[in-house]
Amino acid sequence: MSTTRGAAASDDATMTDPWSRRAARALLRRAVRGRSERGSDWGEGMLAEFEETTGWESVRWSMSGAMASWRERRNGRSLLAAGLGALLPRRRNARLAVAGVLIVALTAGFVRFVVSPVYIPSGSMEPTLLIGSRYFVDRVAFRFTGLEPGDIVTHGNADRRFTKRILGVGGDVIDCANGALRRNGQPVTEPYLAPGTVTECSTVTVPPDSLYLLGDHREVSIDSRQNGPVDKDAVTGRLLVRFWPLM
Amino acid sequence: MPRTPDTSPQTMRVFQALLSDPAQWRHGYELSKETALASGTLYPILIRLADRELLETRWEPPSRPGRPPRHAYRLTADGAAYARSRLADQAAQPANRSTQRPSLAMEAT
Repeated sequence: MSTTRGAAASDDATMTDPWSRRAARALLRRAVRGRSERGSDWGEGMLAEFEETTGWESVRWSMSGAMASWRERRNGRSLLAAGLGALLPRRRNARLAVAGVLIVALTAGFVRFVVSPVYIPSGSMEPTLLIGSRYFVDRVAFRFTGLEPGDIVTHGNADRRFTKRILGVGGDVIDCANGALRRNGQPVTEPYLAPGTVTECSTVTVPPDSLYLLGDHREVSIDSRQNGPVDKDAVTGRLLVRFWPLM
Repeated sequence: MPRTPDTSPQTMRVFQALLSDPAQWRHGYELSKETALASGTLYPILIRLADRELLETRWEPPSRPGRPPRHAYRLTADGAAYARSRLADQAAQPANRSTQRPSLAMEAT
């Protein structure tokens, strides 16, 4: 089974959660477990209940529980948090030092990625990207880490900007058979497509340093099927994560 | 801080929720909904009750595959009796001294 990037049914359920839910879960885990694999029974119990929360409840559950864990730890007890390994050392100076390191690390990470927002104005990538949603786009790092089939990228300029998914890279032979896209003769598994989507295209060999781009909403998208493969240098960014709507 | 232990309104809500079905093992999420208490308020109360052996705990299988096992709570026999007596005390004295200004309280006595 060929794999493309994007949510697949076999992924861990946590991978398809909105980033806000994943962040809330990570925060509570950190507060309860510190650096250990497992926290106290009470802490783990609180973490298990997190999975029962929905929507914004999850953020409230996590923040309230994390604050209680830290309060307990500051009072010298470890009822909610792991016995060993604290998130923040108890001495005030050490806490400030850790906070300082975190700020530097986060800033460095941001600068490296140079993330900027993008607004999705059209339905050509439905159902993956919905009209009106906003995503963070990596403008820099993809130039070092490379682009792969499955990545969703932006190209064009401020006047005419497109957001499409990479289906083929330089050297790939793209064609369509039985309503499905094929790359180098192999049908591509596309779990992100709306059920019943049919893809038709003419056969093309992607030139070196070019990309074959398609919008997920195959019926309406104008993409490499009409306009041919796009030069890799024209790519301006790679979609990272949705920040609006949050849930 | 209330003068007698386990008389805070939050603890009373926990007692009421647990007593609404005393034989049933309850989970943190549903208790949070029933008491309208945040997780960080509810769990310390449950921990204190368990420390004093008024509450027993056990692990239960997950609600859905892929989820972690759930922690469940139930009042012990002592705990149920204690909870009932605390709630009865509170019902008998609706005007708790700690909610009134000191001058009023002195007049009441």
